[in-house]
This record gives sequence, C-alpha cells and structure tokens, in this order.
Amino acid sequence: MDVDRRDEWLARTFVELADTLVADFDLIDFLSMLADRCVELLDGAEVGLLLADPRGSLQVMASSTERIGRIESCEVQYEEGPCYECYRSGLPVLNARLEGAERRWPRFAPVAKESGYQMVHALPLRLRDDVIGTMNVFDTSLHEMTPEEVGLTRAFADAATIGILQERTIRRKSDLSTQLQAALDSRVVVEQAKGIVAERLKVDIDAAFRLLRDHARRNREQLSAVAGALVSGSLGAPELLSGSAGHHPAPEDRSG
Amino acid sequence: MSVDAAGRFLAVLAEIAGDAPPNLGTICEACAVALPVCGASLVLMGAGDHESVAGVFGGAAAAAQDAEFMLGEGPGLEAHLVGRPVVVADLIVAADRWPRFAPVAVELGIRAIHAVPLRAGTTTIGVLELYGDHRSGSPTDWLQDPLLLANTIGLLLLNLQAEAASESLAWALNIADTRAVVHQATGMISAQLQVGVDEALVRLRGRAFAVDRAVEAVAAEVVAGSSRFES
Repeated sequence: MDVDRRDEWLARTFVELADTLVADFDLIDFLSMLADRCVELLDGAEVGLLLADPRGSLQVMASSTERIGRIESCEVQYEEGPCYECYRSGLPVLNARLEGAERRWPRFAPVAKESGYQMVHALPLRLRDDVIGTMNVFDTSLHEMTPEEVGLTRAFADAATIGILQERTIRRKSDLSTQLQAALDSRVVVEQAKGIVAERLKVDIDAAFRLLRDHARRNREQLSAVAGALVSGSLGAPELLSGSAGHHPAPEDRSG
Repeated sequence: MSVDAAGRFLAVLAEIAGDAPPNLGTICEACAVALPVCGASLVLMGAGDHESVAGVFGGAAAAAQDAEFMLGEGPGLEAHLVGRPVVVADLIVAADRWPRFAPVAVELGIRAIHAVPLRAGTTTIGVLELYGDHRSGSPTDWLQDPLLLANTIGLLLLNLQAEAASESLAWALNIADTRAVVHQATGMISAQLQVGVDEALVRLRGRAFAVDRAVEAVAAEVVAGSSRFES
C-alpha cells in the first residue's frame, strides 16, 4: 500500500467531512458519508453507527448497506452483540469471529452469520467520559484489523462524535408535529426517488441512494429536495452522474 | 365497562417494548394485547396521500391492511379522509359500503373494525385500525374513548420523532415498516412506464390484485428486477 496516496486520501476525506459541518448540516447525511468513507478505507467491510437516545437505548443512525442496518437493529432488539458489549463497557470489541460466538451472543451470532458476516468489530463513540454510541464494522471475510486500521477507524469514530456534538448544538427547536409530517413526506419521496434512479441508471437501491446523497451534498441541497425534483421530473437521473467526475476515489488498496 | 383502554395500552406497551423505544409493530402488538381484538394496523401518511410507513400485528390484520391498500377502499382510508373514527359493527351488513374490501376482510375472519384517525398538531397523519373476530364483541366496547388512545399514540410518535435528527424519520418509526419497498417499486415503475408516481402506484396495486398477491410481494419482485412493467 502506497502510504503517501493513502495519507492524501485521508486528508481529503477529513477536509470533506469538515466542509459538511456548515449551516444546513444534516446529521444522518454526515454519518452516512462517514460510514461510506470508512468502507472505502476498510476495503469492503460494512460500517454502521449506533447512537444512544436520551433514555440510553441504542438507535441505528447510519448504515453503509441495508443489510448491516437490519442486523444492527436485531442487536438493539436483543440487547446483545458487539455493539451492546462495546457500549456497556466503553471498550472496543475487535476481531471477534462469529464462528464459535454462540455462547457470547446466543441470539445475535446466528442471525449475523446467516446474513454472511464472519467477523465483527465495534468502537465506542466517546464524549469525555461518556459513551454516546458505537461505530461498527461487520466483515464477510476473516480479515483481522491491523493496529493501524484500528487507529484510522478510531479517527472516523472521533469525527462522528464531533458531528453529533455539532448537531446537538445547532438543532432548531421547530414544532415537532411539523417535523414528523415533513419526515413522513420525505420518506415517501426519497424511497420513490431511489427507485427512479435505480431503474434509469440500472443500479441497485443502495447505489441509487449514494448517488442521490452525493448529488445533494455537491449542490448543497437537502436530500428530500433532490428526491422531490427527481419525482416531479424537474431533475433527470443522468444528471446525478454528471458531477461524478469529481467523485472522491477510494485508495487503491490497503496494506495486508 | 369503565376500563381505561389507553392506560392498559401503555402498560402493555411498556412490558412488550421494555427498555427499547416502541416502534409501529410493538404499538400494534400492545393494542392487540390490551384490547379484545384479533389484530391492529397503524399506517402513517406522507406526501401525496401515499402511505409513508406502516406497522401491523396479527396475520388477518396484515392481510386486511394490505387488501385495503391494494383496493384503495376501506374503513381505515375513510377514517383518514373524514378525520373522524369509523366503526363497523358487522362487516357483512356493511358490505355495500366497501363492496370489494368487505368480502375480503370477512373471508379473513374479521367481523368488526374500529378505525381511528391519528393527529399530530392540526393534521391527520395516519390511522389506527383495530380488527375484531367472532370473539371480540362490539367495537364500540373496545374503546371507551377512541380519541384518547389515538392522542396517546400520537404523542408517542412525536416523542419518537423528537429523538431523530433534522428531517429524517426516526429510526424507530421505520424499523417495523415494510412499505419502503413499495415506494421504491413505485419509483421504478414510474420510470419504466414514463408516468407519474401516483399512476405508477395504481398500476402496482392493479397488478397485485390481478395476480392475487400482496402488494409488498409484487413490489419486492419489481425492486429485485424479476418483474417489470412495460407500456
């Protein structure tokens, strides 16, 4: 692995993350992007972020694929698994093989294995002495994270924590019912837009979502506004590709 | 009978959900356990009167919820439209009110339905629908005060949304939902047929009706690419 190229990629990534911490900051968007960048660094493992709500229950906030989101939800439901262990102890769970983990996680391990995962890791998101959530890496391979990879993932976890702090500071206290209605509306439109993009550009739903989200960020628009434009026809799906010449390339390989 | 349905509902919900936040599925389960009904459905509406997210508890309830969605008629849709509860004591007698939905529900073993609109602020955001079979008795007896239960659930939903970030729907509100695939399929069909999303949804529901399968099942096939719509 070319150290210089990887360092350059990292520098660009963190500048990009800092750029998103501006006025129309969207936490889910930020965390999704962070998860995806982490995926690029870790060469195909899947990444998710769980955050504790005011009652202390973990909630799934962002997932690089729908698959990991579902398995993380199982963990929340069972109150068992690497994320829960990490959250409760405040200590990382690293290089945990699912094969043979039935005693440690009797309900989580079979479900995670069935989905194709072999190795799981979880890092705490810390705010001073408090653990506010976890960053999770689920791998279908048996790759063990090197100390360097752990260090880099920890840097992403710290960036996530900064973003969360930012969001809590600037969150507008607008009327909750208006927020709920808007959220219900935007969910319909965003899912419909995913379908339109998937069909027009012949990609899968996860890829369609990333194209939507990247376009929204490049143009500094809300995701729901971009989705609405696609559904109404004022934006064409091919236009989502036209900005991808500036798309952030992943590092070509990583050290084994 | 002066039992407080809303209070029982909350007690049951606390027991079912434990420390985890409730979701649309567990809210329906709590209704089905706390009340003498065989199932419950919760549908929240979004843009263009499309069903945004939905939860359900009970096999017959799930099939009835899907049938109402597919056929575009039924007590739940009516309650949402008029903004007031709709009570059906006997679906067989009320068959001409919903000529396509009623026979389907009856065949599922459902005798009675109590549909209550849910409000957040001044807008109706969705509908709670309770289904009774031959053991459930009169639907007017299930809820002394339908609006109290509806408002309780409305407050729960707002509380869940309060913990979400900005304009995103709270995870707890979409975790039990399976409608996402329907919206995705609607988008794909609208692109395949070059029509608007409202018409695309009509076509999706029409195909589900024609092949006698649940809308979500047909939608899943569209999203997977194994089923296409050509003009």
